[in-house]
Amino acid sequence: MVTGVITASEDGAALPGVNVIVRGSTTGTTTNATGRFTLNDVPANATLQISFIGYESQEVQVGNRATINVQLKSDVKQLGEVVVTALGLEQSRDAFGSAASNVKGSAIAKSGEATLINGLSGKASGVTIVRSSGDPGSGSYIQIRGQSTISGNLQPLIVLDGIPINNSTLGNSTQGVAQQSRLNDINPEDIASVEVLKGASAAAIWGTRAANGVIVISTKKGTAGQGKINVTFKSTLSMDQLYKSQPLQSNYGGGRFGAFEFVPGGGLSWGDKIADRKGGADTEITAPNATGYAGYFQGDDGVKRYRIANGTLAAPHGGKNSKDVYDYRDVFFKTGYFTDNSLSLSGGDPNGNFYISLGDLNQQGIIKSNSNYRRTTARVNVERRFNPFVKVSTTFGYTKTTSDRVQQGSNLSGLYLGGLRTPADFNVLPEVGTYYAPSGEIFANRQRAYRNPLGSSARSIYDNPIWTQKNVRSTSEVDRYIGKLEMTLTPLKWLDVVSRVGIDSYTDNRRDFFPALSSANQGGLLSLNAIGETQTDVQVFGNARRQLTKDLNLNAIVGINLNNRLFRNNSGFARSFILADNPAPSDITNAQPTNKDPNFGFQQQRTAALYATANIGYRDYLFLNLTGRAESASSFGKQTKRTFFYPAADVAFQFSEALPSLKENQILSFGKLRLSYGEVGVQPEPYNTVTYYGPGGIGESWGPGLDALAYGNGGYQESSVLGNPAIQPERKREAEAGLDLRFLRDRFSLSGTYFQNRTQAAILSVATAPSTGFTSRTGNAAEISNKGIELDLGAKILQGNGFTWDINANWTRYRNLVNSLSGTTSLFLAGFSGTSSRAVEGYPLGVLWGGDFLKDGSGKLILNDAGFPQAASQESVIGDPNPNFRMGIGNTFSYKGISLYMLWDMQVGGQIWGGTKGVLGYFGRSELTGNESTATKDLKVYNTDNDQYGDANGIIKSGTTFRGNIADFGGGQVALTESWYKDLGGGFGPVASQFIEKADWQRLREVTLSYSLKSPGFREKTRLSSIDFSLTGRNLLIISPFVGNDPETNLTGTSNGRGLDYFNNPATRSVLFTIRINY
Amino acid sequence: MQFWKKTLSILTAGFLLASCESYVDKVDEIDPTSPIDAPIASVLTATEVNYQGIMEGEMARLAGMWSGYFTGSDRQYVPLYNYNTVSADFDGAWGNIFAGTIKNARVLRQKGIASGNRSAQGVAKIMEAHTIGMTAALWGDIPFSQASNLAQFPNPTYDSQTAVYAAVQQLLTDAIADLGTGVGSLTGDYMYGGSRPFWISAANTLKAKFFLHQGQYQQAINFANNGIKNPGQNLFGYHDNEYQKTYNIYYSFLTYDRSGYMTAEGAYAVRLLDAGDRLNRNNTKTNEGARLNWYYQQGLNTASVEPNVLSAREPGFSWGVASDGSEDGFFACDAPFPLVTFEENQLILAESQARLGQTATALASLNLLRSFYNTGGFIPDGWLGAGLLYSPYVLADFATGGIENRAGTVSPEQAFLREILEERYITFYGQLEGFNDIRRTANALRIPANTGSQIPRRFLYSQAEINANTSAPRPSPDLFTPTAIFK
Repeated sequence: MVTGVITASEDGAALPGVNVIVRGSTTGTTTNATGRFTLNDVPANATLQISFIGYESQEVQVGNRATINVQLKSDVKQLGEVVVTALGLEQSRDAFGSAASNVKGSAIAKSGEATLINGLSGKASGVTIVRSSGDPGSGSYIQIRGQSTISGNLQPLIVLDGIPINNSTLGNSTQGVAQQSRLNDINPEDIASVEVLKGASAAAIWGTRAANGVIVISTKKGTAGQGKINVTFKSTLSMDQLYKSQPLQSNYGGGRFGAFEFVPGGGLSWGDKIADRKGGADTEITAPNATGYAGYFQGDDGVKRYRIANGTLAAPHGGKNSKDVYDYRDVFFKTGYFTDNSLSLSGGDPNGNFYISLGDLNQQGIIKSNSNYRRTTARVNVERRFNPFVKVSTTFGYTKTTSDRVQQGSNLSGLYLGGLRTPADFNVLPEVGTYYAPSGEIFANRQRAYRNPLGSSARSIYDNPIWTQKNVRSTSEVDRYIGKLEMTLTPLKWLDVVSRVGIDSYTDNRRDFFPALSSANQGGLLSLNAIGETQTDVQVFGNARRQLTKDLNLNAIVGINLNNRLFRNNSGFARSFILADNPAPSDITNAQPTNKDPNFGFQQQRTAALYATANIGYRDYLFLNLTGRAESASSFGKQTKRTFFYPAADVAFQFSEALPSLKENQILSFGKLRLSYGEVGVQPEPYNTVTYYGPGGIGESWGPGLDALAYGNGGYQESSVLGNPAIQPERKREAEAGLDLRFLRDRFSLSGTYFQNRTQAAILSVATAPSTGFTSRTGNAAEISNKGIELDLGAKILQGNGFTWDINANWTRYRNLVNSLSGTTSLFLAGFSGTSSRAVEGYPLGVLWGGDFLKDGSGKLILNDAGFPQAASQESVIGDPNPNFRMGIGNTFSYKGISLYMLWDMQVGGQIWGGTKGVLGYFGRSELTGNESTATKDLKVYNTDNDQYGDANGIIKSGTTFRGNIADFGGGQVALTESWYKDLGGGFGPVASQFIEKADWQRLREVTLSYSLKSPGFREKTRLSSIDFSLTGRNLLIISPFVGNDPETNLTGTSNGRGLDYFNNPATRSVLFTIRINY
Repeated sequence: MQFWKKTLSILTAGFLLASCESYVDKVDEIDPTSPIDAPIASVLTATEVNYQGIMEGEMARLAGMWSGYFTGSDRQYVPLYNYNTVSADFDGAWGNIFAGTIKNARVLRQKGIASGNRSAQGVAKIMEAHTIGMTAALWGDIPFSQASNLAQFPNPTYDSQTAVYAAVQQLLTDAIADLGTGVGSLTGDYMYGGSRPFWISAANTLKAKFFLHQGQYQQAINFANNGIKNPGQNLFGYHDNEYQKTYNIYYSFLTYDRSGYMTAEGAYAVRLLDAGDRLNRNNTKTNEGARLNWYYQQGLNTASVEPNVLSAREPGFSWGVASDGSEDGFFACDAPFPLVTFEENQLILAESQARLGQTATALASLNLLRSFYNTGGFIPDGWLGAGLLYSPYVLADFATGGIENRAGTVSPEQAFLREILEERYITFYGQLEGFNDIRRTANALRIPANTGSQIPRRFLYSQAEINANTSAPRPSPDLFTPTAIFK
């Protein structure tokens, strides 16, 4: 009997699945999970052929040895070696029958992104990662192969070291703060590799939860060295800047009808022309007995500010003389930064290894105050083989994050909402001070804002952007524990039994505080939320490997999986503070009992499944993989059969090996054809099976509401959402075909996949006609299909002389279609009542929906008598955020220790609703509304009653220069002036289609220049193994027709609706310097 | 071999566990934090809240802007004011009417039937009748007979406006009969505190109101005679001082949610009330000073005239108003909102009588209301100083040269009717009925359109309804297509 362990030469890790065959015989075996093999009846003079894909084959003379340990060298020709499967097991990539993209941990860590998932952007085909906001720690939207469900979660399942973990982003809406994604809790430094399993077949083992793909993350392990402890210290400093900002006009000041107004009516900037002002100090009304005296405001700068007389038609400037204008970019933002330090220790021997790390990321966002994110992580991964039969491993990670966020979006306390609407001539500083009323009353600590310029009112309507940064606070404090305990028993040399228990638990304590003077919550609001999620997952599976015949190899897995997910949110709020002056107490005693509410949110769901896979290898070129999973979930109604079966199959055929004519081909060095088919289901969200009663009352989208609990003895009413006891799982069926080719001794590689999937019986909240008594009903109602192409290209353009140039590129295109919504024309996903992202029958998912101009059958505008278009009375599809394709190109140049990496990423096609710009047009603040035009003939204005221009007939005479633009809608030229922008032509009008813009972009997402110092002399001198320096630029350049923000921005964060820009906080660009010291 | 056995036993244990369903069955499919039923008293309260919310909420604001009570001054309210509106603007109101009030009124009725509670059935029918009647008045043909019955009618047909009006009368007749039995408890009725006679008189006033809509004046008189005869029996929606809970909806909208969106800058009603305006309706027998100041205020948020939201009970703010509520506005945070009133009952009588030529009786009906107004009892004391006078009119006041017919351009009868309609217009400040009157009377008061030459004749069908109900009228009638009853 001969035994031995096969390890990889570069890191000493055990290699499972290695073929060990006695040359010239049928005797052979494969190594088990620990790399160990045992061969009986080996002749004395035998030679063992040891081969493993991704490694150079070796032949070893047995001689009279009983133990043969072999180190295999990785085959440099090979691009990838193994795939980490959905169960966390490694499998040969070349035997894999489905599309999977691998991203090395180091590539993520050096991307310059503070969070794990953003580091994947542009690096894998078929994967879209959209960073919804530049705020520190904010969540990102991940999409693999197009949206395949409507109302369910679209985010992929995240499997960390073999156990599923939470990746929720809770609380994103059109207002509030940009919320974090819990995936950000993982320190990118701890990641060894990320495997993106795109196809349904690869993911089927996880059933329901894998419908949107699986991202398998492996954390680092210690390597088996000679007892040496490896110590790595890494330190990064990043400088972050605002890089896309909304262009605004600064030609005209606050006011209406061309006249200056001290308190601009409606908050508008349709005032006087600043260049025509006299210049110098404003004429203030300082004498207490003067007409219009309104007291004064005094801030920290000691300057007394008084009212300035309004302008009139005849004297448009009033008392306003100053020509000073202010640029918000200088005032709201600073250079943000983060420091990221991490220390890791690792080591091991053939029987065990460990990895310990500590990390601390401390980020200050670009917004001047209270925008920050700090993440402290600790991780211990230990693996130990006690004897040939028992191996135990455990991984444990702890994360603490604290953050403070600034309000954004459709929110009177949002940074940009009040901030960008502020007229160019209003200085937002000082933002706080004392108001001295004419009556002699003194009000300290008053907020001053452009609609409340003396702080004379407790209502500022829109918060001063500096005041809201400083005073409106939204903090979050997260403690998260992720642990896994795994035991592998090897009772037979061909059988492993793995038991794995994982627990992922966190609490997120959120505190949102709005002072009494805040505009979003006048009178004050304190809201506390203690959100907790706990996920427990148990896996027990047997993994058997058998050489059935000389040519047939079987690897079979049979297992069970139990999963329990629990969500809790204990919350409470207090509104309309009793002690309103700051600082208000930070608990919820500070309000009258009727203005305080406690709340308890609870959700639990369980899944149990039995699964099996069989991987059959014929010779070393044909691999068949079969998977089946029977799954049962608690969220189905009792009326439904609760257990469902999901099958999958794939086949990989290495024709370059199989066909003798190709085997010796000098050009084609590797060729594989993949085919796969898989079905997965999506279980419904819990608690949809019955119609509930809820606290009664009525609410309006405008804001007001009545709560029946506060009336009579308390009122409850039947919900307007109808329960469905017969709800079935959604079923996604996917077929894919792929080709992997490598040429010229693997110098060039090309991998292509075509996929097609169809989700049937998609669960969604079907809008019912309100006249039925219900506004919606959860049901299996939709059918969605996706098809697409993914291409990955690799090329070693130059090699030798120490200089190399590698290219890695990926290209993805998918086409999505909502085939059916069972009669519902459209379904709201996210956004506003005026403009939303929706599912619409016959269109791609997420299309933008809103009002359009009135058109005739041929699509021609129907104009009114004056030549202006009109609003159509019904809404329709007005845009599509889905791109035509996405492409990422990474170039690596290296020379000796120096390497330069550049990632160029682009999206072609796709649209976004530029709500910010549209609304700034209404206010006369957008760049467009600062234009002046000269009429070359008589021009009609939209509505004389609401305009500074136009005679009694609404005509601007030829030769007149006016503020606005000239347009021709098909009925001759008309003047777009104040009345147009304030009505149909503005963002508050019913026609949203005019603000749909192209969202194409190209960006230099990442540039990294690194240098590694590891010469023998250096090592000798310092006893360090290396020092690496790198300089990274992130988002250095972006080219896009969309101005104002990053076209990737999305107001509703990681929700299923996309393509909405409405006063979203801006994105950032960064430059990072990293030093890494390895001992 | 030992390991063999161990492994086998572990595996077997595992597969036994794989009676998966028992594991998942331990977690309930029903949300443990939510109820699936509620008693009559709770549903009664909730339905009343829905009902008052419908009458007082977004529909009343929109109708108010189209009736000259209010002005859209900021953002979305500017295009809405100018009749630039789309179907989706009506989704909220339509959903609240059908999936809120009507649905729960019917749930309440079913619960009443199941427990033999006739009184609860009666009140449910009154709320349903008033809501569905106003819905028909605003939209024309609407789902009624097949409404709120998803299992049987997923696409409820649209009954004609006339048929709905007939059904409303039947509901009210039944409600009066139900309440007349005196059977069943009205616990949870915060509007009338469980008073059956009050509900009966409100039902009679409602019958009169809808007969008036259809021009059936004698019927209107008959029922108004059994209607609310005393301001103390007015049906109000009630309010208190908690945001998102009990605030007067106008107050919430005007101050907390959308300050500055809706003012009264240049509003026609202001011009009628303002002694400084040439259109004002003051005369030797009438002084609207107090009412103007109760209805409107100089802007807190803008430099213009705004609906009056001054509130003594506003927490956290100093308004500079008297703390005893004597200077509260019509839309103070805790101001009750009129739903069915003595004032309306009286004006139904006056108009119907006048239209039937019963001029003397009509004048008495109007004067009865004026005598109530003249006591000032309906306005917080603090405003009385601005001037209040409602002396009784005599027929001569409407004759050529009289104080209500100076120019003599119309007949005395027309002048008298005009005065009644104008009084209705002012009395229905902030209520939906003002917009109904404009359409019902072919805008007899000549309230100017906000833009163009005509005032909308209806509301648009909700986009959500059009999307999901195959029976919804296609194409949908536009804003300026009159409904059958208000041709």
